[in-house]
Amino acid sequence: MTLQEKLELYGNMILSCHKLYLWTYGAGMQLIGTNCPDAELVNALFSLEGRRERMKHYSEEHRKPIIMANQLGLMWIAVPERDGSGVSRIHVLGPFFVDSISTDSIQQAASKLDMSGEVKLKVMQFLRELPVVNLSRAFEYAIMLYYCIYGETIGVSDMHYLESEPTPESRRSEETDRIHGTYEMECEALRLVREGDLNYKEKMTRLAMTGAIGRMSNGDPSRQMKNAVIVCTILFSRAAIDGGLSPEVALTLTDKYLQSIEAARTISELSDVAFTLQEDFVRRVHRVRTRALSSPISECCDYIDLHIEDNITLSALASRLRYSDFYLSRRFKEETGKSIKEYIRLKKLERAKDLLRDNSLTVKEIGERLGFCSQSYFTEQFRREYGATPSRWREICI
Amino acid sequence: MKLKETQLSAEFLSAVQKCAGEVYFDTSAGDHLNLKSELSELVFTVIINKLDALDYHITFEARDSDIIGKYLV
Repeated sequence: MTLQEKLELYGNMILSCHKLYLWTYGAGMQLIGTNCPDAELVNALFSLEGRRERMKHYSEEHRKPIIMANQLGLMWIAVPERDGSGVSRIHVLGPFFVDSISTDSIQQAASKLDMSGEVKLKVMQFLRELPVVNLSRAFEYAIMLYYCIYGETIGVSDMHYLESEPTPESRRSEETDRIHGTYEMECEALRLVREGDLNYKEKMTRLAMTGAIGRMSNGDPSRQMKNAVIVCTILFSRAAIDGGLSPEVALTLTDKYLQSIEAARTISELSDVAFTLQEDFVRRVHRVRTRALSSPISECCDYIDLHIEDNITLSALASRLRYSDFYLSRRFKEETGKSIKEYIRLKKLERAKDLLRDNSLTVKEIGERLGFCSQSYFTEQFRREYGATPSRWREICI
Repeated sequence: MKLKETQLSAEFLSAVQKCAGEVYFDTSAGDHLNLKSELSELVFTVIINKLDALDYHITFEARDSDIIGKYLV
């Protein structure tokens, strides 16, 4: 199948679910073709806010999908088609809303404008015909479009985001009364953390990504997202404490993730942090709620988890709990069924699996980072535990 | 004044944002929109493309004629 045939099939398959149109632009962002019957008007909307120029600039350096949103909640997905000589075409899917609240809020805002009944009717009719696509589904469509073009599988964390230009002071935005509408979703997300629900990913996917996060920055999309993830971190840590996680552990994790958030240089890195932190809190609460360990041993396990890349000694652990080495060693084995040394070994191997997902580290570097005395020893330990060498495991998982 | 070409509506709206003064869009149906607002941009785009039978005129301040004058007739 040629790329053009694949794109046509992709466009038709999407169209069979939503009135979501596929657009193809040249490298200079001139429209080459689309399956949208109202091309002139809808293309004009895409061109607002300098979006075409920004897309052109993005395509010169990137090929991963980019999600674009305007201040009214209208969104597009774009994937540049690049080859050895640069960008040849840019494929765009859209426009769509991610929730019906956007059209409702636009209608509310429109009622404050000095518009005739005829025009208001036409505008709202047009907007209501635009599809509403759940954000998770939008991510899936972006992944599928990328796969169509490149034949490679990517994840949500590979996406880039582009929001509207910072709103200058002279812009009249008071009529776009932003409705948040995210409270129910937040409550559900916090409940999943509080209960340590390991099926949280599936449940979050099924949740409609409704509403709009409030304006938490002065027009800087990166700061907006960082602030949103910071808020999530704080809320999740409190939910985790409510779920039984030790406050000290929750607050230590919070510190660690806040630093990662500030250090993130791209929205993709930020998305990775956001996904990782929720996973972390959920899993820790789950462990606390399902294991019947005493508080000191539980704290010991949590300390090991948090410092798994450090050199952890029995003496240091015992000293923290004000136990003797012998007493801690015996009590740990009684309660967990494993020696501290064995527990640490298994935790290091679990951590190795996480690090292997990151292509930037070699197997040797991961082994060294986790304190294994040699690469061969690390490889052998990993193979014994998981049935595959670290390299092979990485190939399977990425 | 009116837009020279419908296809230039997006470029015209970008130019509006650069104007020092306000730019208004008035139709014969009684609409009065300040084109510097985000929602008005969308409304304007829909009107220009969907309601071409509707009569309208665009007004702006003299100091901005160099910026948007070339899009209007």
